[in-house]
Amino acid sequence: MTNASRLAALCALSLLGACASKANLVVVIPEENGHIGAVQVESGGSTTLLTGAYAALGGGSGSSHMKPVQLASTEVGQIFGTALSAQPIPPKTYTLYFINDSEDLRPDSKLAFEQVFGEIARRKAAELVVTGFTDTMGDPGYNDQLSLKRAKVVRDLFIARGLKGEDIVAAGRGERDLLIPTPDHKAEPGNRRVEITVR
Amino acid sequence: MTVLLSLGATPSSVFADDPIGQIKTLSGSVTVTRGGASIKAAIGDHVLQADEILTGGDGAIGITFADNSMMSLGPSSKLDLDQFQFDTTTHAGVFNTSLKAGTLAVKSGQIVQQTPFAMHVQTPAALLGVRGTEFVVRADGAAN
Repeated sequence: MTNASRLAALCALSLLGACASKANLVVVIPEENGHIGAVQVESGGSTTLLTGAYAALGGGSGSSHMKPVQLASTEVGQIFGTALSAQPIPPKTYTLYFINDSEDLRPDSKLAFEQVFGEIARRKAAELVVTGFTDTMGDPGYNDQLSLKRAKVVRDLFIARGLKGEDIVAAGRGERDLLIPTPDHKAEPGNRRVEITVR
Repeated sequence: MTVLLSLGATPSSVFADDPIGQIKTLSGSVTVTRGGASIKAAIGDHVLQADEILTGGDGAIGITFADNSMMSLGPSSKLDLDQFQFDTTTHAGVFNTSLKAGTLAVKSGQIVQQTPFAMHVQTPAALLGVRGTEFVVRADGAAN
C-alpha cells in the first residue's frame, strides 16, 4: 500500500482529523529541467513554504488554515488537466552576435535570425521581445541605453522583413546578465549580444 | 567606443493601460471583463491590468505575460489580474492576481526571477507568494 492510498484509506475511515478537503488546493509541479519550485502559502494566520514535487496543501475554508494533503500525480491530472493543457507554448530565445560592433550579424547569427521565423510560424499568436546586452565597458547607465539602441536596430530588421512593429518589444538590459562573467570595464565580445525571445 | 549616440528614449516600464499579456490558447467560452464591459476572448487579444478572465463550463485559456510568465485556466474559473508592473531593463516588478474560482496553472517569469515573492495569487483559502516556478491552484468559489 502506498503512502497516498494508506492516507486515503485513513481519511475514508475518519481516523485522522487532518484530512483536508481538496476543494481548495495548491500543488507544486516539477519542471522539465528537474528544478523544483516553491510557493509560500499564508492561510488562516499560518505560513508554510511549500516545496517538492507534488507537495500539496488543501482545505482552508472558513477560519482554518490549509494543511498538507497527499495527491497522486494522476489526481493532479484529473483536477488540473484542462488548465495544464491550456498552457501556452513556452517562450523560446535565440542569441545574435554582431561582427566587430558593426550592425552586420555574424554568419551563425544570420541562421538564428532565420530560425526565428519558423518559431513564429509554430504559434497562433506570436510576439517578439528583442533584448540588447553590453559588456562592462562604459558606465551602467550608458550601457542601458546602448543595449536598447542595439535592440531597436534588430527590431527594425524584423520590421523590414514584414513583422508588425506592435508585435515587437525592444528592451535593453545593459551590463546585467553577463553571459560571460567579467570584472567591470572589461571588453568581452561574448557579452555584446541581442537575444530574441519568441513568445 | 567613440560613437556618439542620440538617445532620447529611456528604459521602458509597463503602464496602467498598456497590454500586460496576450491570449495564446483558447477553447470553449471565455470572456474578459474590462471596465464593466464583457468581451469575448480571442487568440491574439491583449489583456490589461484590472481585467477579469471568466471561463465557461467548457472553457480554457492560456495567457503569456510581458515578463514571460504564463497562466492558464480550466473550466468554470474566474481570475482577476489585479496588478502588473514590469520594468524591461531592470526586471523589477509586481504581479498580483486573485483566483476567485476554478483551476489555474502558473509558470512564473522574469519578475519572480529578479525578485522572489514579487508575484502573488490570492485565493479564498490563502495568499500565495511565488518563489518559482510551476504550480497549480484550485479555488472553491462560484465562477458567475
